[in-house]
Amino acid sequence: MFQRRKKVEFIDAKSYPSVVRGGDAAQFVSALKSEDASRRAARAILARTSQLRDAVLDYVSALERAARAGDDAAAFGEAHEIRGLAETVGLVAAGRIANGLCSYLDALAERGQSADRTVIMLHVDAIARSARAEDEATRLGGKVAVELAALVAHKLGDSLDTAAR
Amino acid sequence: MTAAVFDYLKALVVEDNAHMRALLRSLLHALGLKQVYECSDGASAYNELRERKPDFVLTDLSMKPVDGIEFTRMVRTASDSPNPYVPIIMITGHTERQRVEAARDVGVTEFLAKPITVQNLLLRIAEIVDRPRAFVRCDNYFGPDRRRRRDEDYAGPWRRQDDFKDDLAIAGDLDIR
Repeated sequence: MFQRRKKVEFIDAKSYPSVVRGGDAAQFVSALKSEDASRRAARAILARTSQLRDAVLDYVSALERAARAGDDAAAFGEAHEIRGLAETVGLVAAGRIANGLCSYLDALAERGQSADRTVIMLHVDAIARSARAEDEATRLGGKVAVELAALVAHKLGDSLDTAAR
Repeated sequence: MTAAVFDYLKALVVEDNAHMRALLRSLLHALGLKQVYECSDGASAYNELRERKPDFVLTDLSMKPVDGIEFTRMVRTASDSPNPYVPIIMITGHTERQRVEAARDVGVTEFLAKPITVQNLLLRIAEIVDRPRAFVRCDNYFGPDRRRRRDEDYAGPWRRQDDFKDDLAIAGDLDIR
């Protein structure tokens, strides 16, 4: 059970070149954690929000095309881009539903099983409505995200049962 | 002095999505970094690492042809790596445990989950400056110490080959299989 092997070498952080050292590091970290830094970064996101929302809508259109064509790999790719960008620019529900779709497709791909078209289309429709209607304020999209997550959990449970039989 | 630090600090952003890349560039510029370099995949990033010598790297996980995991592996272990110790922050929308573990096991320093929030980005960058991690070299791993906490009062159970309280430095002597 126990076998001899080479020693593990620990290389202390002080003995390799680091990003910033000493007093500079403390000031740098303090500046990074300041409210001013947060405000400037938030402004940078805000300045790009309109452009990024347009990008999300382009991904949504591409997702709809991929889903209609039954191309699950392409649908996963577009949903992956949506989940990466949408929430950052305030399209929270669209991002969460896209994340749910990715998890669903990923889980089934790993099991070598095919996806349920209805589940995919329900997600795609919800992502599109949520992103286009910008209904985040009503929180409707959030509720849909929760319902769809429950549906995915149920479907994945079913697929495990099927695989076990 | 802080402004001067931001002036000389160099960041490399590796991301295949042009929108996300632009967003990260804007965020880093907004923080005061003047030298932000960009690449769209791991292969070009490796060349850029040699050319620009960045102080830290922000990289996506999923890219083609060379993804963030392979890029990190090259940086940490290739014989011609320009800086095997460079801090690598991996940005990923993947929440699947397997992918995150694979990235950790090739030597990623920090993870930043998408969707990116300002707070999380700032914290990850602060982390690599404020608490630089010790590196570990053993038969099958070279990279930042994957254990984040050391509790001096921890009484076990001891699961790892180098978990011996008395002397961590000689700890890797036994391999438990």
